[in-house]
Amino acid sequence: MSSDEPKPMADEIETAAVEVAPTNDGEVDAAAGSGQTSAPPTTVPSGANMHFLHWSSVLFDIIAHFRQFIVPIGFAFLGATNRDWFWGILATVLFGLSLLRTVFRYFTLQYGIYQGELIVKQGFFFRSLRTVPTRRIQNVDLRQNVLHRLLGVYEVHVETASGQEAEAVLRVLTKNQVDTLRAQVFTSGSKAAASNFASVVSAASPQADGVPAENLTPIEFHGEERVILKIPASWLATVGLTSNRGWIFVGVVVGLFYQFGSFESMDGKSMRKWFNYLLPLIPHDQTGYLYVAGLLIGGFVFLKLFGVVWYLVRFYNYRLTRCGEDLRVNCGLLTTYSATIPRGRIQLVSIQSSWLMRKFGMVRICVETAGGGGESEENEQAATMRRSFVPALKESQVAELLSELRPGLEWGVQSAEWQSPAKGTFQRLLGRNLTLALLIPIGFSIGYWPWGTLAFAVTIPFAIWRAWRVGKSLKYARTSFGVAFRSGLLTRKMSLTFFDRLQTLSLKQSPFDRRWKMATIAVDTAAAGPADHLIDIPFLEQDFAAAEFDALRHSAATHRPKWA
Amino acid sequence: MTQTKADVMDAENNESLPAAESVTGGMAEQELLVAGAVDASTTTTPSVDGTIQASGADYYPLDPRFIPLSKLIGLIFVGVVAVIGLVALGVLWFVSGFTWIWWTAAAACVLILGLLLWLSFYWPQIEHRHYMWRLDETGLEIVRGVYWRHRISVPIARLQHADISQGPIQRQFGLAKLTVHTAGTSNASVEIDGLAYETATWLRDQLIRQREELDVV
Repeated sequence: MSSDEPKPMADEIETAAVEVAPTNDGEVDAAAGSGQTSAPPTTVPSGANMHFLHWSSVLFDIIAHFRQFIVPIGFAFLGATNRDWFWGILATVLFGLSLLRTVFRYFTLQYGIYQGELIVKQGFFFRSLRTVPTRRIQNVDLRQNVLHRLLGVYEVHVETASGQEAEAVLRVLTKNQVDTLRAQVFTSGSKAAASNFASVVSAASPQADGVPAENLTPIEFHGEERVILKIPASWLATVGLTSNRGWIFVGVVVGLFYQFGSFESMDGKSMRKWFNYLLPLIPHDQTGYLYVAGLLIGGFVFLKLFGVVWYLVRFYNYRLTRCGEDLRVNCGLLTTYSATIPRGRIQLVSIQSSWLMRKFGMVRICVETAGGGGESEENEQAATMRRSFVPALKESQVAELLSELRPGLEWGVQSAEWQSPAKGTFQRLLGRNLTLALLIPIGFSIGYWPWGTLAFAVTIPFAIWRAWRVGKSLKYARTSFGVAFRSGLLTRKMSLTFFDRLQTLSLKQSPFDRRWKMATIAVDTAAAGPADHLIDIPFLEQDFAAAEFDALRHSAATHRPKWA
Repeated sequence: MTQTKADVMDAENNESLPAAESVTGGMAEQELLVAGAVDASTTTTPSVDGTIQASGADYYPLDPRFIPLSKLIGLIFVGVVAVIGLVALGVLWFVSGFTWIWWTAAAACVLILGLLLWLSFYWPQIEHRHYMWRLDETGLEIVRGVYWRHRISVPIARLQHADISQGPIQRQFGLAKLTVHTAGTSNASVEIDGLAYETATWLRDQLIRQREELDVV
């Protein structure tokens, strides 16, 4: 029995990183990968050259927090109509306080690069100092909406591998500041990245900002940015047509409907009132059907049109370029997005197509990169960027594009040796589906006797069809570079991940699996999720699965991850 | 078999291996337990389904002290449930007296408590039998689960860091939990709960050393 306190590894590593990080890169590496920022000392090292954000930050900060004031302002208006000024005054006071806070924040937030670390200093009374080793920085994403563009500024998201949140958001910087920052981040960071940022390095001199000259890698001009893909508007329109974006719009409208007042009491009574109001507008004869049909078709056309417009606006002038090891995406009509994804950070590539997209021979490509997979508002746009990394692509061009995403990724769907699920899969799925197919119509049968029993005629064939198709849709392949997995009935997804990206490997068996002599192989990668296609391969034959598990285990051990 | 493996590891690293005694110490009874877990067709290599032959190194079971510890924790849990049940029955008596509702509730309580008590006595052995780990050239592998079986492999190069933690009761039993962190998502941390403290530290050091050797190369 030991009385010794266990000494957690993490503590050792973190202290080590804080103490020696600036001088000894090897030590930083010990804490590497997860992109942990070191526990902050609260003083900026002397010699670091700190900068303020652009002055318009105040403006954007207020806009970003405007949502908080919608409710008080709403109350203020309501109050004002009743000559009740309480809410008005309260809203004004709140707004004033928020303005003060924003201005205060502007003057107390400074950033800078010093000795291989991005330093963000914040606060006056409660100071915080965030240091992010630049070699851990994966992406420096830019965002520009219409207002940003008028003022010539960018919102800058700095992302590391830690996954969920952007490590630092600098709202907002000028083009000059951005270029300097990017140049510094990627010169004091990894060498590979440094050489690729040649084109954004402006005349700004990094030495002036306290980076010792010997830390700078000479900037090699690795050729110009090469355009890999430009998406013509016709493709975007096609994909927009097939998308269900319009329903999101409907959701938003319904949401607003409930949020803002006048239809607060949408109970049965008022619904009927509305209905009674609308009903006389429809002629009570044969043409009434035409009206209703027209209305439905109109609504459908509107939804589709919305999808088209959304895609055209969001991905207007889409350009995917590669500059050395960096992939860059630029697009957007109103808000312009510019994302840089070092291709070495790609964890998973997913090729997806809905039923309708396949009819047009189109697919979309999602990528998962370490960093920026979060759910929060801030990161939602970054997530969208990855979910629709290539929003529209001809099926025939997939192989060519993939070869750009990863060196040596020669991949054709036909070339892989696809493994189907084990023999009993159809029976097993059928059993599962039939249970539901028999249970659900029972309610109908009781409620609408005897015609309700007809529900069985729908659910049972559907259960059989679905079991058959799902069994056919699941495919697994181990390739020379990693693992490929296909699934999906209507929306088909095919995801590829790589041996050096594989974090853990699982072989799972439920009691049902054991009865059917099946097993599931699951592959875990960093920041999995945005592509909505986890590599979790069910119904494999158990001996095959065990053999694959061992093969994958050995391949994963021999393919070492490169973080550079 | 396990003993030789431990000796090999010891010889390779040329340093004292506190884990060796504790791993091999209770081997007589452990071997029985392991053997009982394994299908007759296999030797000492259990696997997810009991028929798959795992290659290479052998598996180590958890420390045998895991069983009394789990029993104790189970008993504490049963005790807590019993107290809650008693209070609830008391309240029910206060509200309605000894009606048939009270008697039904009391019977249900006794039944549930009996079941929990039975589980807390027998489950730890079963769990221990289905919980094992091994370290080979590819990395750390953990096999666990009685009904839902799970074999998880963490390649050495994916190890971010490793923690050892000990609860107050665990400390009394000299046990510890080893948590291995990766950059993954759903398996961002993988745990082995119920190692001897010495084994846990040895395993952690071994993992770190193996990874450092990789980094040097």
